[in-house]
Amino acid sequence: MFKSKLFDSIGFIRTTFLIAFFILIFLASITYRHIKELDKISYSIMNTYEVSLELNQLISYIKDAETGHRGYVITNDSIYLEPFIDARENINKSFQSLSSRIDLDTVKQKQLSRIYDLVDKRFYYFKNNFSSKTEFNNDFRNGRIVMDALRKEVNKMLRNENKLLSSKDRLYRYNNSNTPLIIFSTFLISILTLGYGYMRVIKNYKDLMNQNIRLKIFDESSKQAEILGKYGSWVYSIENKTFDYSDNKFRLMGCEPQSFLPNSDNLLDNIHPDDREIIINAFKDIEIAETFPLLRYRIIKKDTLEIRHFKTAAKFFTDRLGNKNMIGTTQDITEDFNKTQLIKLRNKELEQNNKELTEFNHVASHDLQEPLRKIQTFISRIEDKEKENLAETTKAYFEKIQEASNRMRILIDDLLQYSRTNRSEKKFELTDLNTIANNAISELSESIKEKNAQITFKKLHEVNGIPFQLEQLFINIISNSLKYSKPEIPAVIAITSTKTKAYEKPKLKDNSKREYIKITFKDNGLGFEQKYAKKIFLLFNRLYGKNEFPGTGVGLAICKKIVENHKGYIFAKGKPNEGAIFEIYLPV
Amino acid sequence: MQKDFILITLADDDEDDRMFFTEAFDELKINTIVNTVNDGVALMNFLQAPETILPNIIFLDLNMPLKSGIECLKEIKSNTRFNDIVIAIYSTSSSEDDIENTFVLGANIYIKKPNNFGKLKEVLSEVVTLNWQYITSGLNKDNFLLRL
Repeated sequence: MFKSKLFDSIGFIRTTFLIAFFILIFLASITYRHIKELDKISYSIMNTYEVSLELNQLISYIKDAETGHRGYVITNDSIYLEPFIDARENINKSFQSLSSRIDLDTVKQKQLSRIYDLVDKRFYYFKNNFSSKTEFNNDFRNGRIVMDALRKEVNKMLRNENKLLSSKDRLYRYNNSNTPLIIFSTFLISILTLGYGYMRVIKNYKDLMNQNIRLKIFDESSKQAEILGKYGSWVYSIENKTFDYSDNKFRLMGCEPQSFLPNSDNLLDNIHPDDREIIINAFKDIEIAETFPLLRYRIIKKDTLEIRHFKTAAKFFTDRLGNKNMIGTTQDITEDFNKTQLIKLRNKELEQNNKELTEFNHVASHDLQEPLRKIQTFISRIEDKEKENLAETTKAYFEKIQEASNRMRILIDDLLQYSRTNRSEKKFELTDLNTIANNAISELSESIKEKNAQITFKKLHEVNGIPFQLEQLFINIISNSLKYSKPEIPAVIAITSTKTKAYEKPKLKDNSKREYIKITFKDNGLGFEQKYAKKIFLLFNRLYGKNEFPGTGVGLAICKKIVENHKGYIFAKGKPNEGAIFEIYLPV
Repeated sequence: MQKDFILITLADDDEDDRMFFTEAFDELKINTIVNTVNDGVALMNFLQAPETILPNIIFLDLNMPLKSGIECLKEIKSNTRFNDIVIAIYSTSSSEDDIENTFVLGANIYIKKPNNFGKLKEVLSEVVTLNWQYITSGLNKDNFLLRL
């Protein structure tokens, strides 16, 4: 937007100056025409003036001739003839000059020839010897008449000249009366236009200055950002095969800013020898392909010879002059790279540890089974064959051995199951909890019958889960309730499920709208004190002595594990002698 | 003679287990001839010896030195001469992986070694008296693992 505004105003200024230019040309042409006309007028005035002057001169020459002639006639002294002869010569010169001034005007030419004839006639009467007094008198009188006619003719011509001059002047005045106004007004307009243009230029200049300041600030802050963010920017001219690096780009490479002129020839100088191929490939055919891949490569810093990891991205653009360029950013990602490497290593170690741990867990429990199985088999052999022969105390000891080995069997089985919960493949599928509940109940049918328990559930939801693990979960929780039921009354276990959203249940510590299926197991058993609600899910943790209730403390730990495998939550609520409630939240 | 007796071979590296096994058959009132070998290599040598009369059922422990039960199973199944032999896996492990693997490789039944002698007798008697012709025709993963 800023750009277009600027260019609009440049166009505007251009138009303004163009208009002023044409106005000035117009002004110049008018002035030129005006001056030309003035020149013409002054020429014709001069001409008229010269003609008048020459005509008066002519009369004066004739008068001189007259005077000379009279003098001669009276005195008969030839000295008086000199001006007379000169006059004749001067008159001829005058006529030549007059005729050259009016040579184009035929009317004037005719007038002049009439004057010439009259002059000739006058000179005819200038005779030096007269035959008679009468002839003299006649000539004198005739000369006088011709002279009068000549004067008249000359005056007429003078009048004509004056008339011509004044008519020309009138015409000129009429034609050019508006010229000063036009010149003045156009001059004023052009001054105004130029003034306006000037103001616009000044305003643009100020805007540009402001923009320049802003650009400088931006430039400075981007320089700071480059240093902080450990990146540098560059522009590559595809035509010239030269680079323009930012200061920080030089610094990243361990060079002084702008210490050399980067181009395609010295591009590879700092690149790690093993990674040069990456750069060569990236710059190959860029002109045609007009794409540039995201590059990761190593460089060797010029000053410290340290190996650094770089990441580079670039984009093509064509500037206003049609030059193809590539603008790019290069970042030093060594720290990130090292961190990622470290994390990868740690992850691998962790994975390995985890694997070893589960492996160990599995193998340990598995291998423990072997000798235990033999012990138990031998016990059964002795029981079958020798029990009757044993002394009473030995028999009691023997039974203790049997109990201990049985307990060990349960412990190992539970441990195996726990480790299997971790190991087994996690194939999630849509699972109907009603089926799961039914399977669990049929699995536990014997102890349900034994405890005379009543288990109710109605229209449970479907969840996305691992079916056999969910079944294990149900079995473990139900058998837990059965185990801790009150001996005097039949156990009642109610299973319900509802759909809920995470943010509705503060204890999930999840404010999202994620949906969960909440499964609740409520029993009327012995319950527990609320302060133990978290402890009961810990591995090998038990609230009762093993003589009161046999168990390993693994069952609920398995439940927690299963729920965690499903990215869900399990909570227990209890009140001593009233019962326990288990709440399980599984994501939909 | 062969028609009256069921020939049984057990491959197991554990001396105690071999003893339980033979004692169990001794106590069972079934006409069987039980022969035991100490490992996988011994089993394969026994089977491939020309003078050997092939057993009806092989009980195969999985975890054995030199040659594991799985390797033996593969070799037996790849040889058409042993087509008629019923292979019963006889292992302490009841891991899903082992059960799956041996089923895929063509074992006929999977027995988890019981921890009670009485139970052992029950299991062995069940396996030996099964009508194998009927069972093998309808191989089914659900009843592959023997439950009593």
